[in-house]
Amino acid sequence: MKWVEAKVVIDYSLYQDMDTAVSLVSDVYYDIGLNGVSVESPEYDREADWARDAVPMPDHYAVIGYFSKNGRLADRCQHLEAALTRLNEDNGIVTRVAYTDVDEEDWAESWKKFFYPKKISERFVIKPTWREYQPNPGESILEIDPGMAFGTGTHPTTRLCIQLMEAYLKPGDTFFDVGTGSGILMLAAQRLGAGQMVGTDKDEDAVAVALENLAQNRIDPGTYTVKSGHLTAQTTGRFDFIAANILTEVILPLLPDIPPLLKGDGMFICSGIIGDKRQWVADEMSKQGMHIYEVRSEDDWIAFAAGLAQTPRG
Amino acid sequence: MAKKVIAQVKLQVEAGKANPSPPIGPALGQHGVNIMDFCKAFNARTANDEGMIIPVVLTVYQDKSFTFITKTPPAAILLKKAAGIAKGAGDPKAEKVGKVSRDQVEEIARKKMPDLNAIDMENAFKIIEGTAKSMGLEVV
Repeated sequence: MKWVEAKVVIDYSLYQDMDTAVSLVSDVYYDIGLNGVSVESPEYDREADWARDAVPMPDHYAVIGYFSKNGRLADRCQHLEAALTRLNEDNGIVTRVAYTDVDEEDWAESWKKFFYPKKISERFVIKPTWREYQPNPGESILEIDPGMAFGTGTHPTTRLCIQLMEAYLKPGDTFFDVGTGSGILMLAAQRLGAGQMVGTDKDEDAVAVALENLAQNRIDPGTYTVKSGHLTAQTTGRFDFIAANILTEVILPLLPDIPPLLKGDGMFICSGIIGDKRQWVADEMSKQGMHIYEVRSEDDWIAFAAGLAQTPRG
Repeated sequence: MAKKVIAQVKLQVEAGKANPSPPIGPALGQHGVNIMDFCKAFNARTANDEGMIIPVVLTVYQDKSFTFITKTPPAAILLKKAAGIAKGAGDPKAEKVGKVSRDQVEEIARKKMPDLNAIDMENAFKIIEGTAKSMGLEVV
């Protein structure tokens, strides 16, 4: 996809209150319909321990917005320039705007240069598809290209999930991955011996990425299905193991759907919960008749292992 | 040894709605930050402020890991919400698009205080009042 970067540089020799100037220029972009901007300013954290090869800080104030390169582009540029002229006339904020073409591939691929194989648990090593890695004895490789889907496998929420799966998933377990993203948890489940697997995601692109990753890892297509749409409503049956590595706000409304999908002695793992929201999730799980067996945390992230039975299955 | 910083990135992003499209993708991709990991963490932290634009400052380290802090929404956004208007005036001198009460301005000043270069509440009030006027809002 092609974009146009519109960079508005603010002349700060003429206008002293740069917070307001940046805010008013940003506002122009919001009026045009953008829901985010990037800001450049010479202010930086002087207390931080800066590397010698750090990126030089800008010597100017600028607000940058991005317009998709489509039929509305000319209108948006015109609107931007007219609003900037008014800011000059009414507020004395002098700006200049520069446009640059950008290609999505420029940034969608760039971070991959820095993504290397990483051991994320006792057993699993995440290997990007574009890297080579020789496993050590006892290591199992999960090969993924997360594309633009959630789940590189190296984030604490995913690591916590996989560690809990290592502890509780039993060979032959039927497995349901709610919000599968890159499919990383399905890959780990399969390596741990899971039987039939189902994954769901609201995002169609994520489903395509998950399917690619499952194929890349040569998992028998007869053992899984991945569906886009509502995360739980389209799935029936009862599972031995359900994992949801999403976010508190997504998990909470889904919790009432979990008990009907979980076997009496089944395991439910949820992750993606930030520390201060831990109690909300714990309370809601309890309201739904679930018992919490274990809570793990890393940085400020929390993961729960729970189930309908009083104690985890032996 | 503490990790060294290689870049600081400033963005304004809608709460709970971060995704790899611009401005996040290009701003983070160039520094090798895992874009989706940032989106996930930002959305988790801001989900309660739905509809608000949240300024965020990311610190990127040499190993491409990152931390970030979120700030209070821009004054213009808070003022528009307080006045119940969708956009500011095209010509604030000639056109008044709405009103905000002194109490509302004071409340916004208090909320913004940690992020403003204001010496006291009176000064913070003046800054927010100035923003309101420049948007075509009357302070009553």
